[in-house]
Amino acid sequence: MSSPIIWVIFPFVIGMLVLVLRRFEPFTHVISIVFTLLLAYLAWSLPFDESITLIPLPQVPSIRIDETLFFFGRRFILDDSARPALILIYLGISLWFGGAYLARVNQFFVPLGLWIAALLTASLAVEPFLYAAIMILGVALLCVPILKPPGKPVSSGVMRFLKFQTIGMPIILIGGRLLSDVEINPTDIQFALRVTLIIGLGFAFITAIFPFHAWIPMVAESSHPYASAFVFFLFPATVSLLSVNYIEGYRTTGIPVKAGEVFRFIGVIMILIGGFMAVFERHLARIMGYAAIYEIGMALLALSLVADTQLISSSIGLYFAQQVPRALGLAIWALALCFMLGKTGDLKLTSVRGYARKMPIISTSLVLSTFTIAGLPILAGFPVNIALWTDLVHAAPLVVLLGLLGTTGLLAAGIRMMAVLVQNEKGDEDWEINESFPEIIFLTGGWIMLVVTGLLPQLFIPILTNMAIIHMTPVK
Amino acid sequence: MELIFPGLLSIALLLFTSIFLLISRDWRLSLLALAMQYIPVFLLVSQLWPVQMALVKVIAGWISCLLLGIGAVNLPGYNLRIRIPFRKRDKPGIEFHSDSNTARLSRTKAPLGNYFTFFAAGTVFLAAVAIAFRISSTTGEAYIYPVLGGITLIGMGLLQIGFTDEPLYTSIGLLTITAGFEIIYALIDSSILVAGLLAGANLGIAMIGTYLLAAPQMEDQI
Repeated sequence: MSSPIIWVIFPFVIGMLVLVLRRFEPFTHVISIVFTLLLAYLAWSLPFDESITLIPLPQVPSIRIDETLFFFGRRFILDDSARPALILIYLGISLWFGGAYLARVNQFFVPLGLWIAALLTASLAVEPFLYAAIMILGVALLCVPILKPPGKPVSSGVMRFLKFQTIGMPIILIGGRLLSDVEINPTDIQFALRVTLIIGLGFAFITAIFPFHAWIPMVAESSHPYASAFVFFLFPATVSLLSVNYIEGYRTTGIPVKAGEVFRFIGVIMILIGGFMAVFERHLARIMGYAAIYEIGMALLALSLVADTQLISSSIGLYFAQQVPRALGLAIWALALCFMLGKTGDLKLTSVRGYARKMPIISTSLVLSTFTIAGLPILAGFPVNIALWTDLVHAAPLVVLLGLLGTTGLLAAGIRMMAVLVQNEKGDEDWEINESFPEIIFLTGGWIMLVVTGLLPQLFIPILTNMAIIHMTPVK
Repeated sequence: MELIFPGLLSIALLLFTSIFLLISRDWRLSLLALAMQYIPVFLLVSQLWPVQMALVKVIAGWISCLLLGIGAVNLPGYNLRIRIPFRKRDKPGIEFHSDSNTARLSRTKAPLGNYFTFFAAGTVFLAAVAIAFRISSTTGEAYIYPVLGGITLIGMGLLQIGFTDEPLYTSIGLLTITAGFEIIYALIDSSILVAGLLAGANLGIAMIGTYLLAAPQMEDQI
């Protein structure tokens, strides 16, 4: 038995089983949540390359989990350094599965989510890592049925998503292969720059970086909010983790590629686009899409610190720490949108005027999650955002200024949303709670998580920083 | 000379099939042209890889065509008429059909009609020739045909997906881009795993294309 079999093959097999049994909800949801939590726990505790006694009986032989799986002459390695990423992937997926039943996402969500987790793990395990690009394309292809479930018309946003992901894969694959030539001959700066451009273009396509970001609001508008938030969280998180490997690849060549400056430049553009487009947007799901664009910018700014530092492990902690408020913010936002969509059938601002007076819990969740992404104090995004701005202000004060300008845009969008939701046109509307009990439980639970992680960042930031250090430390 | 003949033949075939894919508005002929396109892809890749590995490309490509074809045929009420391009009554713009399934299998014409498509395809090919000569100056002249073929397919595929949002023709465009990329990538890597993964990617694109074709007709799951 090897570790890739546990974290790649098993989820794939269980996913297939869940696909067959998909009509038996919520049984499939419970099974998948338990299974992904178990995999996250095993990633935390299961020793590699040691004999493990499953049952303490002399008749039952002990098993040994190897770190490497050989496949078609290549290696898939999941060693101790992969544990943090495994925990993040499977814990993250279980969190999204947790809300999926209540959000009434289509029945493909859970089985395909398990396959996506398996492919993401395979992309982290494959050596050489440039082959991961093909697996990321596999993830993108699996996202299509999630975004566009059966019985719904094909939207141009989903088609654009499919096109960009398919174009990005070959570009990254070629760039990654050429990067190994750069490592052989690092003196050819012109060639190295061309390779950098190729890799950058590939990542721009896949992570929806300007000017290839247009599919995000389109998908947000036309797809199920929970499914689209899942994709918005998943892609930047995992693909930028992959990009860290490329940054490391450049570092070994010794070529002075100013990746930090490039990341900062693109990052701030994304933040400005996300922030300012959100202000003028009139569709609640599209505002979430622009918030996702804003978050991609924030991730790029965190990666710019990674690219600037000689010792990656010291600065990648911030990037890892961003994932918690991002996942919480987007999940609660999407859940609230799903409940709202179920009741109003429309997410245009004009259709939800005064909605907070009838559904205050849902409305408060929407506003709180917007403010979380924007990094308002006492909410989950604040400690991470303030740490990022503090670290950046020495290296690039102008970037911080522009970034805060974009953040103001997102905050303004949240305030505008709040103003519309509490509007009292007739002047005689009373406040009442009309949400169902599960909706109240899930959403108020989300508020508590947002506030607790905002007030007590020491609960998650040190753990994630340690995980980041383990992830970036090669196993001897 | 041994290399030149299959090389030239392959480029000519690639040009014919890829331009036909741009102008064709009949899904059967388009899928036939796509299947034919994999023959020159195989010829070009076989110059770089062992024949048995190059065969993977053509087999995966044909299975992809088959998947798309099955998806199209299984749409209820699909249109049996074959529309030949360049008829005088073909006007630029959206072609309207009596039922939605036929509409999903057909596609909008290029913004300025077939002449614009030809002009765009010609420009792409000229650019591909220029790029191929430049690249082959570093990789060696022996590789000019694979490079030219690969870049031509990538360019034509990009034109294809730029012209349309219909699932079938988008899938065809994406498969064309992937085929072009596979030729280029064969120049720099000959890993069996990559060959397998890329074949899987081709099948995946075709499967998603088939799904997107059929999905609006499928039962709503929630």
